[in-house]
Amino acid sequence: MKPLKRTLIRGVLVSCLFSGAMSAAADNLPLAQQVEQLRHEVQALQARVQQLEQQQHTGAVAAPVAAAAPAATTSTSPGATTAQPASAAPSTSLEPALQTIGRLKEAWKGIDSGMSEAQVRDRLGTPGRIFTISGKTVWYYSYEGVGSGSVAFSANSKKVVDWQNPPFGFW
Amino acid sequence: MSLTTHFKTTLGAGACLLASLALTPQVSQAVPSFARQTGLPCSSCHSIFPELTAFGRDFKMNGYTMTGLKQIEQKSEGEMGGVKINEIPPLSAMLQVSATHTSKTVAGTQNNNVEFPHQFSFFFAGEISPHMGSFIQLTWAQDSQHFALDNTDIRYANHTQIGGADTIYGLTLNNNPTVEDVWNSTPAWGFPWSGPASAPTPAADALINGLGGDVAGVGGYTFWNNHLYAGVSLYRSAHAGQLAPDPTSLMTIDGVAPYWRLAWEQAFGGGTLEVGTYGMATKLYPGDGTSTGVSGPTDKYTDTGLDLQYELPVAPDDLLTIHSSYMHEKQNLDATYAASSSDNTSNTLKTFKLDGTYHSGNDASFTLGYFNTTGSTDVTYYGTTNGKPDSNGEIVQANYLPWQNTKLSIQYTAYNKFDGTSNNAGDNNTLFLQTWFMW
Repeated sequence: MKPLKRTLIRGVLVSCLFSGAMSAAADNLPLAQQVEQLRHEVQALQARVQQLEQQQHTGAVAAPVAAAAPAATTSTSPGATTAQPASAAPSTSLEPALQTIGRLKEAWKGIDSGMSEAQVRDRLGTPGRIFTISGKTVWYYSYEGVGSGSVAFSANSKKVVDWQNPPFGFW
Repeated sequence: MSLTTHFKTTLGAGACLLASLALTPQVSQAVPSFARQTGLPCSSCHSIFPELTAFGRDFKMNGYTMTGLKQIEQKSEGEMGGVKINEIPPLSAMLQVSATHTSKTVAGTQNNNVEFPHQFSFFFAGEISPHMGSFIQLTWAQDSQHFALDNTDIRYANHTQIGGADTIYGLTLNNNPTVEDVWNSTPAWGFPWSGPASAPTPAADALINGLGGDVAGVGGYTFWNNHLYAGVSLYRSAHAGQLAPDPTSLMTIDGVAPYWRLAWEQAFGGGTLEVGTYGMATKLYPGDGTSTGVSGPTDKYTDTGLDLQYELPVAPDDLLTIHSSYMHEKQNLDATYAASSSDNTSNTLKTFKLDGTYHSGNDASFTLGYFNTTGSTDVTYYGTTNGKPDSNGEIVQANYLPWQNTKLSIQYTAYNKFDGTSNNAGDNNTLFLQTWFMW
C-alpha cells in the first residue's frame, strides 16, 4: 500500500475512534458499555480498512517493482536498476487488474530464446533487479499481486537462453 | 540359481526390499515449483538437472525458502507466531518413461523392456514458512505399483555471523543419508542420476547407498564463510509398511546410526572445487534367520568416504563438471557369521566412482563415467562364483533438453567385470533410453 493512502486510512481510523469515544462519553454510559461500543466500532473500521486494502491490492498489478529478489551468492551485479513507475492506477474494480495481468501475460509470451536485451526491454520494460548467476546475466521482474519472473542472458552472446514466467496462475 | 548364497538371500534380499521401498533413490530431480517460487529459470540452480550450481546449493542450504511469490501473510508481534505462506502451493510432477536393452536376455524375462512409467512423482517442494522449506517426493513406479514416499528433505535454515563471516546453519529431517547433501558427488544426487530398473546390476554396494526410503534421520548442518560445510545426522529405521520393526524385519538399525559430512569449497583454477568426507556407522539386525530382526547379535558397517567435485566454465556458456568418490566399508559380521552365513567375521568393500560431464549450454550434455568395486573374498556372503564382489565398468550418457524441463537421455553401461568375474561380464551391458518430464 502506498504511504499516502496508508496515512489517510490511519487518519480516518483515528478520527472515527476519537469521535466515537467523545460520543460515548457524552452519552454518559457506564465505562464497560463505552468500552464495548468502542470495540465494535474498531472492529467495523478494521474490516473497512481490510476491504480497502484488498481492493487496492487487486488493482495494483503494474510494471515491475524492485521487490525482494533472491540474492545471488555467486556474483551479484552492482548494476541493479531502478523500477519503472507503476503504469496502472490503483482501482477498486477487478477489471483493470485483469487487463493489466493479461497485458503482462502477452508480453511474457513473446519472450523467446535468442532475443536481445533491447528486445526484452521493449516487451517487459526495465527489470527491477539485474544480477549474475552462474555466469548468466539475469533480469528479474517482480509484479505486486502476481509474483516474480526472470530472463537469463548468455554471458557470451547476450541473447536470451532461459526464462521463467511470473506465476500468472489461473488468470 | 548361481547367486543364491547368503549375500543374495539375506543382505541381498534386504537390499532389494530397501531398493524397492526407496524406489531407486539414486533417481533425483529438479523441481519446477522451485522455479515458480523464485521466479528464476531452472538454469539458475542447475547446470542440467539435477546437478546443482553454486546458486542451487545456496538455495538448498537456505532451506528452499527464497521466494518471489505473492504471500499470504499475517504478522505477529515477534518473528514467530504469524503466518507467511506462498499463495501458490509448491506442487510439481515428474514422469519418466524408459526402454532397456541388455546384451544378453536375462533368463526368464523379455528383453527390450519398456517401463511406463519408469517413475511418476508428485512433489511438494518449496517454502513452508519463513526459514523452513521442503523437498517431498511421492513416487509411483511400474515395479511397485503404488505411491510411496521417495526422497524427502524438510529443512529449517537461518544465518548468523561467526568470526565476522556469514554462516548458514540449519536442521534437516530426511529419509535418505546424503539426500541432505548439496554436491553431486555423494550417492543420493550422484551420477548416473537415473538408470535401468530391469537390468542386472552388481550385487555388492556400500550400505549407505541402499538405506534411502527405509530410514528417518534428523540432523544439523552449517556452512561457514561460503567455504566450510559440516553436518551430522542420526538415522533410525523407519520401514515402509511397518509401524514398528518386528522379528520379521530385515536390516533394522540397532539404536541410531550417525552420519557425518565435512566439506571445503573454494575457487580454484578458474572453477569451483569441493573436497570432502562423509560416512556412516550402522549397527544392523540383519534378520532373515541371522537374528530375530529386532534383537540378538548385530552386524556393524562403517562407511568412510572421500569425495571431490570440480566445476569449470570452459566457454562463456559451457561447463565441465567432474565428480569423484571413494568409499571404504568395514563390515563386522558377528550376526551373519554366527548364523554361518559368511565365511569371515569381517570384510571390506571399496567403491570408486569418477565421472566428467561436458555441458553445452543448458540444452545438451555428455558424460563419461567409471566405477570400480573391490572387496574381500567371501563366497558365502557375496554369493558370487569366486566369492569376490568385484565389478567395474564404464557408463556413457548423452542428454538433450529441448526445453529446460524435458530431458531425453541415452545411456550405455559396459561391464569389464561383473560380480567377481570378467567372463561374460559383457552379457550385462545395458542400453537405456529415457524421457524425463518435469512440470
